[in-house]
Amino acid sequence: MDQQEIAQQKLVEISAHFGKPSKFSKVLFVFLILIVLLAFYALILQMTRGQIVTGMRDYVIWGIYEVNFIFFIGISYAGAMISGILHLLHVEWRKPIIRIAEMITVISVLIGPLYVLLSMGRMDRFLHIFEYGRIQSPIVWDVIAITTYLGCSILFLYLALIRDYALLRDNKELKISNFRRKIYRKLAATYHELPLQKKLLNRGLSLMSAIIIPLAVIVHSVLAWIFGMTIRPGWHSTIFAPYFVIAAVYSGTAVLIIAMWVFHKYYHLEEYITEKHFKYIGLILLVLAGLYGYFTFSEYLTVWYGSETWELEVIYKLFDFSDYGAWFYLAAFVGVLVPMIFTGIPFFRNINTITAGAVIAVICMWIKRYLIIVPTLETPLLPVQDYRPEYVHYHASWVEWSLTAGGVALFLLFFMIFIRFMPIIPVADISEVPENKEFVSEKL
Amino acid sequence: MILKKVFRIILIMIMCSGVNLIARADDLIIPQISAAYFKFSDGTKRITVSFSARENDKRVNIPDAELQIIAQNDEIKTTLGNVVTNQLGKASLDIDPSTTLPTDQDGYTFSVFFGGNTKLDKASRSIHVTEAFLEISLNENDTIKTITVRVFKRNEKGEKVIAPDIPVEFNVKRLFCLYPIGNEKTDSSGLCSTEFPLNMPGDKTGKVIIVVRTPDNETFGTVEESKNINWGKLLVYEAKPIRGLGDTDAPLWMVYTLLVLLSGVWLHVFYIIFLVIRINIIGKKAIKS
Repeated sequence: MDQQEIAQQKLVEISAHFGKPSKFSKVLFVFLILIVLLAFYALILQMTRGQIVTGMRDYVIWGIYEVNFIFFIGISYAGAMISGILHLLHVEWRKPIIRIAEMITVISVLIGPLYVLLSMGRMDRFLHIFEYGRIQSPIVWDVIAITTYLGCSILFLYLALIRDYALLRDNKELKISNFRRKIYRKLAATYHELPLQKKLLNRGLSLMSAIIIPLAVIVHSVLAWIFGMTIRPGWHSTIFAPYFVIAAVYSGTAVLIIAMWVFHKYYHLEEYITEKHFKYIGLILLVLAGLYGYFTFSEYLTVWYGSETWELEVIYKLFDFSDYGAWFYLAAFVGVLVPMIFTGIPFFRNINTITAGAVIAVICMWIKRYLIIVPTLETPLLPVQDYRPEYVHYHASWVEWSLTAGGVALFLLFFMIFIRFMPIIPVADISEVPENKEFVSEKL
Repeated sequence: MILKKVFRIILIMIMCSGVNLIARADDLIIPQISAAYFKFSDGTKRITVSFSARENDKRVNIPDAELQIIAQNDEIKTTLGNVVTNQLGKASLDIDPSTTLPTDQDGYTFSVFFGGNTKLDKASRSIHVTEAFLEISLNENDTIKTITVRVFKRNEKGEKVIAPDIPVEFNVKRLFCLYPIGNEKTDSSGLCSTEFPLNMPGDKTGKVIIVVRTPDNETFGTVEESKNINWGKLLVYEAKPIRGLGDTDAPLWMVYTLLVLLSGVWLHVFYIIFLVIRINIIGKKAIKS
């Protein structure tokens, strides 16, 4: 049996896991659609009545929309960093999980920026950023960086999919409609594993892996500079860019672990996504948790030690249990220590505990983004005259929560739809016999 | 004996309820109103009101209270309007110069009323202001520039007479506030004067607005008069072509960095798209052959 036949056989095997949707899948699909519809209703309400239907007021002008934006852009790091770095290092064990990471990237970069639009009082003026935007503004940098990042992420995913599209096009066993086969034919770009085609494709993938890493760093640095370059307590920090980058990779890796668990347990891909993958990615999560904890400690210690009046006002809001204390300690300690324990101590380390650690990390990272945005905005440098009581404390309205749930539902829906049209395991890659069997992964 | 005891209990109960009634009446806080009168140079009059109360030996401002302001004389009462106090317990009402106010012989009487509520007792305050007039004359002698003010008031007979011994404040209007340049008192002829500082900046034509007033005068309130004159130093604005954060044009290093980064990424993207097209062409050629 040649490599192509092995690949076709594996394609049929893997496709069997994504055959007829189960009852649970159908119920989940309908449930997610309902959440998206609710979010759509909330969106119409916000567009017709204005931002008064949200909890945002004159003090807190960015609420959970901006939190979600940073969160989704953060998890997009899963594909960019994990997939990019592991590809460049030719780590063999990356192959079964690389597609999941790349899909997380594309879907989250598609959803994340939508929350910026929701934060805008006048969405119809969005195009003004392109028409009248000034290069000096970090917001303009952000728009340029994210659009470039989105383009590159889609291209990266597409390049990685070409070989699998070719397999789907040529497969005779799977029941694929003519229309779908036609699309696969177009997308496969007449790829036939010819040596020159393979060489060019690998060159493209290596180039894209090299570009996507600095690009992802730039995107999240720019996002951090939107805050860091604003002279406000809690934001004006020189380490915000690397802090955001580390936090993003941390949350992206955690989401990747959760997605791996779903495919491992629910779609029964145990043969491909093994315990080894969880342990290796878990070790990456461990290192990232340590780095993230270090940055958190460094940031708050420096600010607290400086004892600058305005900075202290925010710091004490975060430390005070009657204010944001509980959330702060949860994000700063539980969000770091629990994933470290679950991934670092061999006694605790198994698929379920690593995933539980990842879930905690994801939740805590969302809370952390909330704590970056809201307490600072509740502490203005210049007090607003004759302010109303609701300005002082931000509470997200049901409209904002609905649109947040809508974003998460859309993320899951995109995943459910995408996996029906493209293999979640890179079939062509895993069927390939490596030339050098001394894998980097084995050394790890 | 029993009747006596019952009577005593009833008596105590009545007394207690009486005490309660008194206490309830005492529970109402007595607020205080203070009012001030302003007359601006364009003829607009303003009544400003402060509404507060004493609570635990501290003065507390009362916000969101509605107060009625009226102007009155012995015969006519004219309601000027209602105002609501802000967070600092303050409110103000502007009276248009065209509004005809009921006058006494020498000026106006304004009253401010608060109708009371469940916590605050009723309150009122009346102020009487004598109508005053300020006349500014500006003299330039060699390099000395002098501002002279004559203050008049209306007497009980309704006649315009000289007002001696009145404190007058001399100011120059700046962007957000008045810049004081002198404080004087009128002499027996109702006159006072001050020198205009030579280094005071004006606008492009040297124009400044001189504002004189009787600050918080007990009899007149604050009466203001102003005059424009080009006594100020000419403001020379030199527009320097700077490329900076605050300018329309971004700093050049920023533009170059962005161009290099963007072109670096997009050139690679186009190259990769070119590679995909080549893969396609190679495949097509292979099929044909």
